[in-house]
Amino acid sequence: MDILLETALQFVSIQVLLGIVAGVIAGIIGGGLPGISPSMTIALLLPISLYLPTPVAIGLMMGAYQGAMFGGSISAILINTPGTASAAATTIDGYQMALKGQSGKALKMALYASCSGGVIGTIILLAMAKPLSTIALKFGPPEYFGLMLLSLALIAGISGKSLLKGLASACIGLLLATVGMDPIYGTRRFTFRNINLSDGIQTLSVFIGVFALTELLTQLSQGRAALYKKADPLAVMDNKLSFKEYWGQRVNIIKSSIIGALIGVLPGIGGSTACFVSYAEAQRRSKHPEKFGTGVLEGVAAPEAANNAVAGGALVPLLTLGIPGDVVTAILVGALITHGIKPGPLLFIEDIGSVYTVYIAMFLAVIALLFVGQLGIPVFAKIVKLRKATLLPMILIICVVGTYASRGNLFDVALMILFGAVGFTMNKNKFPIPPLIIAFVIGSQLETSLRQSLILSDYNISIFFTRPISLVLMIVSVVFCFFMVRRNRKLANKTTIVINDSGEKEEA
Amino acid sequence: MGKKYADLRAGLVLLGLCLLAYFWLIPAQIKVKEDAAIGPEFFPRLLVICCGICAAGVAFQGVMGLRKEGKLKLSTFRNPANRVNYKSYGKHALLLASALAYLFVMPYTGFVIASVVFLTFLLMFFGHSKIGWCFLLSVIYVAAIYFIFTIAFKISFPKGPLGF
Repeated sequence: MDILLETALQFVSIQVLLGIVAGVIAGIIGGGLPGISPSMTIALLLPISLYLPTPVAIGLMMGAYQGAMFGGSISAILINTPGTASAAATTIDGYQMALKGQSGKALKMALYASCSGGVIGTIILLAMAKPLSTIALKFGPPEYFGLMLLSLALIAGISGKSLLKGLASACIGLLLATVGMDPIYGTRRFTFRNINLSDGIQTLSVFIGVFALTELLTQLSQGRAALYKKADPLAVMDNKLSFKEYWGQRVNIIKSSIIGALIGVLPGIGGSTACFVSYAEAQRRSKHPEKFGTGVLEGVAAPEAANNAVAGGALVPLLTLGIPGDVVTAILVGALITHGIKPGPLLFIEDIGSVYTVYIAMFLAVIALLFVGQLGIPVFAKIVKLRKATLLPMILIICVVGTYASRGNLFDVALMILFGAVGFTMNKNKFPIPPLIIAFVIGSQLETSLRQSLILSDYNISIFFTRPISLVLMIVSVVFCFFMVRRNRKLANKTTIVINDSGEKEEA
Repeated sequence: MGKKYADLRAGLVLLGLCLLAYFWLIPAQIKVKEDAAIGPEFFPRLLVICCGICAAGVAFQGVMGLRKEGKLKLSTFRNPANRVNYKSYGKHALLLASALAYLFVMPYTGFVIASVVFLTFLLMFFGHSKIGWCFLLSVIYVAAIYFIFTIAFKISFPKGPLGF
């Protein structure tokens, strides 16, 4: 207790607090700009942190981590471009809310859900660090395959009325993930002898292409006159988030945060999987699942709570085992070691004060995010008041720069344009985009764990059903898929008659 | 265009692409390892088969829908309303082609010059009519982007003859 008090007193300093606020601001800017990933933002802050005292440096890093997780949602909501991979799920409903003139409401929901997720993630980190890392240690290839299969089963929930189209879309996403080196033999696949494809297709090229560029092409269909028209003042009504609306999301936020933190504990899974899992769970539990994708608060709250909670979860294996779960935590390991903190099981015995430093910094970063975000939202929300004829070309330039910035390669930008065309074609033919994104994100891990498991078992598929965690995950996937298909069928029966292009009545 | 007809067409096109991938793309792009029970081509082949089945399913749903509506006739396929209106996608094609041209010239002209020209063109293309205003906005916006990314994030953009 004395050590905790002593550590807490280190944070009662203007230097430390300024460090946290600076980290949050840098994180929001970095996360909000497509192409600048949270890892890149933290990596850029790393050299600065070396010259700072330990609590200030850790505060700066934790602030940037939390800020970047929220920052990704700003561009996701306002311009349909996820600033970070974790914000891809926020795009689905966030942007629809912005189109309805509720960008301010969506941003506030994202902020409050992010902060709530951050707090819950920190609590989970505090309470369950050791037991959770013990479970995570038991995960081998079959368990990872089970987890990936569960993520894939979620596609059934977000395929809309046509499960077949959703599955076809997912297959395309999985196929895109196979481009590059084979994970077992290192053979090149679908590279067309192009060295730029050896490492596979860049995630941002796909994300920005199928989300932002597809939307831009869809908007172009409206015609020049409609695009030049000023934003309708009536379209910015109902833009305030009431406490009742936030409170109505409490169960959704808590559940999504727990999902986020638990997935964050598992190394290599990443925030985007956590966000899609929590999004699908929110949809499954919703009284109005059919409204998901049309701009509902639940669709923004769930992924945003999850992605900030991932930050807490990802620190569990980092602190207790010294295993970085993703790129961000790998950079954080470097920062901690530079400041004399050696993550691992002995840290909790020999240097518990450093563990408390990380906990407190994480908690204060969430509070700082709440204040900085509150001040920033009115500024961000003004973006949507611009004419589309002005905003859309600027977005295209940001898309190009963002894709280029991730690897400094114009080939990635060309791919982004290609995926924009693919997304637009899929959209026109009513093939859902989110299954493609989920499948693309988990594709590589899914294939690796499937093939590793089969090699381990001498090509016997019983390995997936004889290990308890794997078996449970398989059963949950099948049950989940069954309920989702049943629900989709019910929805499909509720058809609407619309007049088509040729003036005939048809089912929609 | 009728929804069921569109489903039938989309399903058939996707099925065709899957067949192309299975019989040409995978053998041409993946070197098969003879000694491996599950080689590098295993997963892509599995996916193409799954995708093909889904595509056939979508096409089948389209056929069944047309049959239910009593429109499974040759005249449905000949109906001009069911044809893709390629002309309506001209502006989309122009936008994508101009974006590719912008990428192509960027290494020669540099990021700033190429972006200012491209953004001015885009602003006009999306509905603005005053070229002077478009150019001024482009210069300010591209300069802001350039300084944020080069100074704050240390990103190096292609440099042209003027050094930026």
